[in-house]
Amino acid sequence: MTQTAALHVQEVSKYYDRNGRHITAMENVSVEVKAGTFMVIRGPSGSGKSTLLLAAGGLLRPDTGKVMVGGEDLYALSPDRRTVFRGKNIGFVFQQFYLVPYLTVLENVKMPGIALEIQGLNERAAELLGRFQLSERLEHFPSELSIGERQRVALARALIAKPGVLLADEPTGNLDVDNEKIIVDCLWEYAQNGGAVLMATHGLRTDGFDDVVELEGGRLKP
Amino acid sequence: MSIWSIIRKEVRYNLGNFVIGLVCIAMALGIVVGAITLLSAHDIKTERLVEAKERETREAMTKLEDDYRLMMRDMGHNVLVLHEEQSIEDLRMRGAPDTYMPEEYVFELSTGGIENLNHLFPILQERATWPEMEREVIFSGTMGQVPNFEKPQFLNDEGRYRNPIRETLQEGAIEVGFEIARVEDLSVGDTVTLFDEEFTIHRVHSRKGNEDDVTVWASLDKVQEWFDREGQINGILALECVCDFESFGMVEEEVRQILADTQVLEFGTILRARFEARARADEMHQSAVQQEQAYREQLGAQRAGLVRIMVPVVLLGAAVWIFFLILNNVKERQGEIAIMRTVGVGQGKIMGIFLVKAALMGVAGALIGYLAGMIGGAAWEGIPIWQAEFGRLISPALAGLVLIGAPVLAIIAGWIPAMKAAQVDPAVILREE
Repeated sequence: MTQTAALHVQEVSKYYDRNGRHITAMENVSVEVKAGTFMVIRGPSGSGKSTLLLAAGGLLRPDTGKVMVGGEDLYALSPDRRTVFRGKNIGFVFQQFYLVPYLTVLENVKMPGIALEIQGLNERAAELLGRFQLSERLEHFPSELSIGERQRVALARALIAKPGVLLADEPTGNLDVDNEKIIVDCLWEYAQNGGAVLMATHGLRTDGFDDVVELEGGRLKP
Repeated sequence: MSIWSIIRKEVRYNLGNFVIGLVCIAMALGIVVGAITLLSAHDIKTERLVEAKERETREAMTKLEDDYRLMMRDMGHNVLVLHEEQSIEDLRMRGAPDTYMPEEYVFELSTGGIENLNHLFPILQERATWPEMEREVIFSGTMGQVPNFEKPQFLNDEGRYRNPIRETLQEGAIEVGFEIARVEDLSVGDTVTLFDEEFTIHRVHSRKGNEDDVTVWASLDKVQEWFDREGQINGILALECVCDFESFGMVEEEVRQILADTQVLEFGTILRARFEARARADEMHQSAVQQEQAYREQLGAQRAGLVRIMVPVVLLGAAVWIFFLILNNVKERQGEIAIMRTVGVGQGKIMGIFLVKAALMGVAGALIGYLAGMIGGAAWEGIPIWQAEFGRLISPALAGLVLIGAPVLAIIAGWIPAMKAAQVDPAVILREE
């Protein structure tokens, strides 16, 4: 894992025009997540948390501002290069998991291997699934897993390429307390190993995290 | 993990979607191949039917020839070769010729290369009184059919007629005309005395209404003996003149080239009736063949017209169906596409997933459609797969066109949905869900 990898969102704004209305999704938001730290963004629904994560992950071009990942200006890259860069350097976890229904647990975790050259893919996938207590579920399909197990598979997939940055959008939103703890512990472990975690949540207790910022109406609360 | 394994697993998972697409292509190509095969099978069957009709016509004509031969035997002779000095008036008055020729004439004629006469009979006819009956009759002596070696089709390996028109009368046998038998109350098997010799009646001829009704037929030797005409004849009967009525003069010319001191007497009415009947029968059969051929050609043209309209409609229909099927598949898999894009899968690979799937549908559908179309189209025209003619319907060009064309068609139909898949904005999908 790259210890120096970090995410730097610099004065990013995103606006939409919908049905003739001008909507501010995010305005002049800046956050910096250092390698080895775990930052939480808190805020109610519609506050711009997901927009910030998508922009930070290279999936949503901001109208103003820059996003730097590992020193690379994401939106200065061509779309194709940005896609590859994202695959290698940024991991995503979503509330909805987005597991591929016709692939087994092991195959879902190995799925980024379609696009990326990942050294020791099989061993890495098996190791991650073992760490997330899913060794007995390798050949199971997502529909055969519990909600918590599905999220752990999604997390293993996000980590398979050893990204420097992990973006987690409400990863515990659908989970019970036990599974929430498992996921958060896994994210902590990742951060302690040098990763930079930026997690959006609207309800999680935020005691003990390295940094907590609050977002409201698309703006950071002072 | 590769694109291939993603495609394979998705097809297995979403088999219904794949099968519907495959069936759609198979049906479309089945109809197209079936229609084309039907047209080819139609041509083969037309060929077969026309051949059968022609064979039937040939058989009918052969039978007609046989019937004519038999009719001619009973009706009279086509041609009578007489000595050139024979007066026709005397012949009509006496009912028998009174000028004689050497018996060898018939052999000169049969070996002289004559082509227009088929069956030659030397005869000696005399009008005289049957002493025991005290009746005036015509005695007709004949030795039977003399082989014409210019007509080998009628002869067996020994140079004799396979199916002689008239058998040689056995020794001690005679035939009598209808009127003699009626008046003298004679029937087949009766024994009669003639010139102090006993003869058995071998045949009683049916009523003809001419001199035959008062004729007694015996062997040529006997008649020559009775009238002291050894080695002499006074006519040569020729049956089945092969010339047509208009060119009858050719026969006399041909005969006179071999036997210069002869004349040829025709039986024009019989000849004309025979010629016209044969021509009419031939015409009817030809017309039947032509009608069948015309009907088949018209049917073929109608079918070809239908195929010309149907093929593009069916292919367009299949393409539209594939388009919506893949578009629906793209919509259903938007979350999957979004996550693939998120983990670094490029647009080209996303597009490839859908296009390869479409091509697979095309290949599998083409194989099934081609086989079903071939078998169905041929069976429709009555050519089942196990018949040798089925092999004639297999066209490598059509097979190649279908097996290449179907995947290409599926790829074209799936192109826009695949592009839409590649252009899925992960941010929109991930935020909406």
